[in-house]
Amino acid sequence: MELLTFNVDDGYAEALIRGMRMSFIRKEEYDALKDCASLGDAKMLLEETDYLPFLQNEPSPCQPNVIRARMKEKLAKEFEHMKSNAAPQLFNFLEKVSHKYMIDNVVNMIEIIKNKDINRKRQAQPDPLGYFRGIEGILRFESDDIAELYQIVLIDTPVGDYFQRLLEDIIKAGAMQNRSIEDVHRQLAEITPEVLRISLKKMWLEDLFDLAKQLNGISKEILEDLIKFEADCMTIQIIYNSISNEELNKPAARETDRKALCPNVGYLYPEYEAQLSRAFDITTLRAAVESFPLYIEMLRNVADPANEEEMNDPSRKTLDDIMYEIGIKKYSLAFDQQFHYGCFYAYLKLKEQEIRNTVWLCEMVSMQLNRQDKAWTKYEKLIPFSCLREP
Amino acid sequence: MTEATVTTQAFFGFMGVSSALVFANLGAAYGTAKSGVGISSMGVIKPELIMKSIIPVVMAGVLGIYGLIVAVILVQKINDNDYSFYDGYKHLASGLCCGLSSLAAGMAIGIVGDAGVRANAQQDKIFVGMILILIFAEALGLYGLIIALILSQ
Repeated sequence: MELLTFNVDDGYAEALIRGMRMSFIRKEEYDALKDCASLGDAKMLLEETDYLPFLQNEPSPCQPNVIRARMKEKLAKEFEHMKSNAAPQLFNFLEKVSHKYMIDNVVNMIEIIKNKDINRKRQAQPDPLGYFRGIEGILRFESDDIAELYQIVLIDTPVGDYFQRLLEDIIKAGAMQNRSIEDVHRQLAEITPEVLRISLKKMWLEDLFDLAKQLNGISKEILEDLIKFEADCMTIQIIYNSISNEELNKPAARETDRKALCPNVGYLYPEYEAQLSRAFDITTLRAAVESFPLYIEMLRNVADPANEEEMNDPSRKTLDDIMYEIGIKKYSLAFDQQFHYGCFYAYLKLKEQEIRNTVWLCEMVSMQLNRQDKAWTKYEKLIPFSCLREP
Repeated sequence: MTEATVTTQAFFGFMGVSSALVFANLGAAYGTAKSGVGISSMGVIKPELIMKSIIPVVMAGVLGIYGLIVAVILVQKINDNDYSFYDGYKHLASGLCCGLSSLAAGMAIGIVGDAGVRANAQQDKIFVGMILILIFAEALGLYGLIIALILSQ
């Protein structure tokens, strides 16, 4: 009976988010941005949107990466505001969502430490959404032993739990294969940042799903749908990207390594897990998702990774873009109902898409590309809430 | 005659009256509230569909009227000097029949109305399906009303 009880705790937060929903950049503003002649014009246009307080202190001309940084700052501030006005249950949920950005930040820092890249160290700007106290301390880690980094520094962070579980998983797998402790440590140190990122994100997504299951009826329904969709996108992306990667595509690796990277939630799990783990090229992948019209549509026009020509064909959309398009529609529809937490999650995703669109257009403007180029119209299908307007 | 010779049987009779009205109104309230939330969400993006979408609210309101009818009829039948236990129990059953059936119908109409109205905003062809489902839900309240009327005679 969310009708009766939701507003007691979360009425203010939901009202806040409904108000913030009005701040999204509309199609007319995107079109005007597209017609800008220079970055200075673009900045003036953006100052007319909700981003004014964050952009007005930047000197013109404003580079796209600076614009991205300021927009992310605004999003992070809004997120903080939401968290500070949230009752405990909503706060837990929002904290969990922000762990994803923390994971991104931490993995970026691990990458920098591993590569001993001094320059990047100085310029490293963690994503403000994933800020936590002590985040700067990670970069000061000086030793060479990566396993030590995991066990001493990272355990104390809010995402330390995920690293702990990753460690336990590796130790367990090592114990099953009778490997020594040094071997396990070495394996830990050798995990590539990409694999690390995907494994941690997988754990985070499963945790988020478990959290969503404990919420009230409407929240659970909407969030489960969104999270399952995200997990399926992750799975399909991993398999798609692994088609061209020799190591992950070997029959032996498919069952173990590649399957270990795919999340254990989603519409495709568990019934289609077996079929997916046997998929090794685009045809078998398409066959594995046959029962889901949405995913068939997703994979229909995408380029075959084994086919060099198709991959380099600029008129084809990448899998990323197609997933964003479908995702935008789902997240826009999450604002439909009332009395649930799905709109908070959807708000973050849609704002990120808005930042991507805006920065893309600013980069196009700064590169002064030929106006006939298709890249100019890429944003048209990716405008938040556009699916709800008159066609 | 001494003043209150029908106390206990009147209790049952009047409980029938109040349960008819109260539960029916609960059902109508839930139906109206839930569909109303759906209409508000949907009306922001498709204002032209608002009037069509008021149908679930109307159907939920009708359930309240069922409760009212039964309550009025029962009140006429209860009197304070010639009321048997048999009639008392009969009227209690009548009131509960109507009230709880309308409560059930109201909950169904609320949930279907909410989801149907929001889906109608995205896909026009769902409208007919939604109306049919609402009619079947309303029928449950009607069955309760019929039996309640039979019992009240």
